[in-house]
Amino acid sequence: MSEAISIRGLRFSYGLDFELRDISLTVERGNVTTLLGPNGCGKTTLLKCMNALLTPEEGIVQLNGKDVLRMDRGELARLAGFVPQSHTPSFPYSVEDVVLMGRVSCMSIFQQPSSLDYAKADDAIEAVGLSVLKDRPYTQISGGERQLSLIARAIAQEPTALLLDEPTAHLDFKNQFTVLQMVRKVARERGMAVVMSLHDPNQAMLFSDTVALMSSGRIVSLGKPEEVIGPENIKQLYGMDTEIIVHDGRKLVMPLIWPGER
Amino acid sequence: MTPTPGRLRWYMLAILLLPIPVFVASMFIGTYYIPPGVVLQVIFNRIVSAFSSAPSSSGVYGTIIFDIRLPRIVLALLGGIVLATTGASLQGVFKNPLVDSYILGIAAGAGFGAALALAFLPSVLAMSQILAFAFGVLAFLLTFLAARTRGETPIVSLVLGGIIVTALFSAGISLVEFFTNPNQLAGIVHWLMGSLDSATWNVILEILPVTIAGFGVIFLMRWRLNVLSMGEEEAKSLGVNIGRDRLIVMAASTLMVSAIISVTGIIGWIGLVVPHIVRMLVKTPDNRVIIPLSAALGAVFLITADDLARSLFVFELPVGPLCTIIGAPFFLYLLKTRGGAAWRQ
Ligand SMILES: Nc1ncnc2c1ncn2[C@@H]1O[C@H](COP(=O)(O)OP(=O)(O)OP(=O)(O)O)[C@@H](O)[C@H]1O
Ligand SMILES: [Mg+2]
Repeated sequence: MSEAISIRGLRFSYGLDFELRDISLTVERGNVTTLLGPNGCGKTTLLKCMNALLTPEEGIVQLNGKDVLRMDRGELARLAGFVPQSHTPSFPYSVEDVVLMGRVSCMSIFQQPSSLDYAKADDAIEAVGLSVLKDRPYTQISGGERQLSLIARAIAQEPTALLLDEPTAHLDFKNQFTVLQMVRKVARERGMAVVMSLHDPNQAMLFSDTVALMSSGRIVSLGKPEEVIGPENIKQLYGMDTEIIVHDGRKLVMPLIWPGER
Repeated sequence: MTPTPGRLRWYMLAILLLPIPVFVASMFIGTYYIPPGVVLQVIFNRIVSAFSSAPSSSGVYGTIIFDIRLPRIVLALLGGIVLATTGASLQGVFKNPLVDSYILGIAAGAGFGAALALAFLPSVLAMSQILAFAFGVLAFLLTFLAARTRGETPIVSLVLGGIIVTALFSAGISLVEFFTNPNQLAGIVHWLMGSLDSATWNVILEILPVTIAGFGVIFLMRWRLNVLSMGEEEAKSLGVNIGRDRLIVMAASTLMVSAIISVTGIIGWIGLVVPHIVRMLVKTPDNRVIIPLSAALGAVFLITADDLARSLFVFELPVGPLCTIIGAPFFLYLLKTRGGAAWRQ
């Protein structure tokens, strides 16, 4: 069987100086791959290419062996769910109504959601732990809860691949871990291939099977988190000094920055 | 878990049914006074004769009630439904509360078509209706083409395109008015104001198919409108062919609105105010609720406004301005007491 996600030789540019190039990546079902890299290195751009929101100049993105540019939006949405980095709320729909929208790719243009669609939406809401809020307008919940409802919407889509752009942005300390744990669990249990972007090397270390380090439009290092995340690579990416601490067999990245000095 | 959307509450049902009593009551109202008892008698006779296949001979009262009042009420019903529904659906699709069906340039286009016919082809039967419809649709096509760049039609471009097309056709109307004679000028002004006085059964039959088809399309897409209102990129990644779906909504709206205003002239305000009233009343933006309730309330609004137009004075008022005069203060009242709740985030 072909990989859930496969990217080969991808190149993309906005026409300005930034260019995404030489991107090759495969992700299997049930695995989590994290894109890690500084602001503006191209994480969002890559995720949008994977979802055909942007069209690469060269190379190919395949989902389940099929070129994303040869699918219509419905087919693509049944294969890949996307949670954007930022979201401007429109009308004050209830959380349940928003999650229900994840079902649209399985419906014809004039169809209304059935009780099965409601069941799947409610199941996804349950999976992210938002059941108590499901009747609340999603404009009147916290930024973190909104992020969770958008993740639930992507889960309700029942895709093979889940593309999450900074799923921990806006989340508090605990919820960041709750969400990442939930993402990993969903990947395992539902056999989804997850690609997400993160900013914290420690979270990348804890929750991913593969880490892709990105710098100015390229993947500079790809592999298991423990192998890829280390002081040299982080110095190269961020120009910052760090130290690896091993505690209970877990590796942690510790910035060498002390208050009051440099 | 509710497969029925947004929980149908009693007042929603009440709004849905409201057009029925308003419709019936309107048969008792008119410029020519007929005692209520007589109206009842005539209606009763007509119903009986419909079942007994006896020739109906209800005389002059029958003609007034069934050939003058009834088609007019039916036209008001259709017009209210169409204007309010398209307003509601386009506000969703455009993510903009200030949008109604005229944003796409339809009103100015139809007005220009009607003005051309009234000024230069006054003797050709139904020419103003034909040209108004044709130019309404043409105006939308121009707006759409103006907005289209590289296979996409962004909302901002559509709004700007609509403004440009409206400006051009408005200038066209002014020129036609300038070159025509005072008699025909009066006709054009009357048309532009909007009125239901040209309602006949023939006219109703002409516009009925387009109206039903257009409304049917929007009604069936009521849930999808929710997804379309999430914005371009999100709708796409949810699996919606947003360009196609948006075009279908706009085309259905354009066709039915053009059909209505080709007969009534330009009736403003309903498309703007009715969906807002509904949103404030039901406190959900779910279009599965908003679309049917807007249709019902739109019908109530236009039928009532036309009742007033027919009965306030011994002569008839044009219903277009009347809609604005009733609608604006009511809207203001709702805005002050309930706030822009439906749009606030
Ligand atoms: N729509 C656009 N048009 C032109 N350039 C863009 C556009 N979007 C992003 N860029 C540029 O492309 C580069 C990569 O942006 P991208 O959003 O992919 O970065 P990112 O890794 O997601 O950053 P962040 O961590 O801040 O989200 C940046 O230099 C950015 O300025
Ligand atoms: Mg980004």
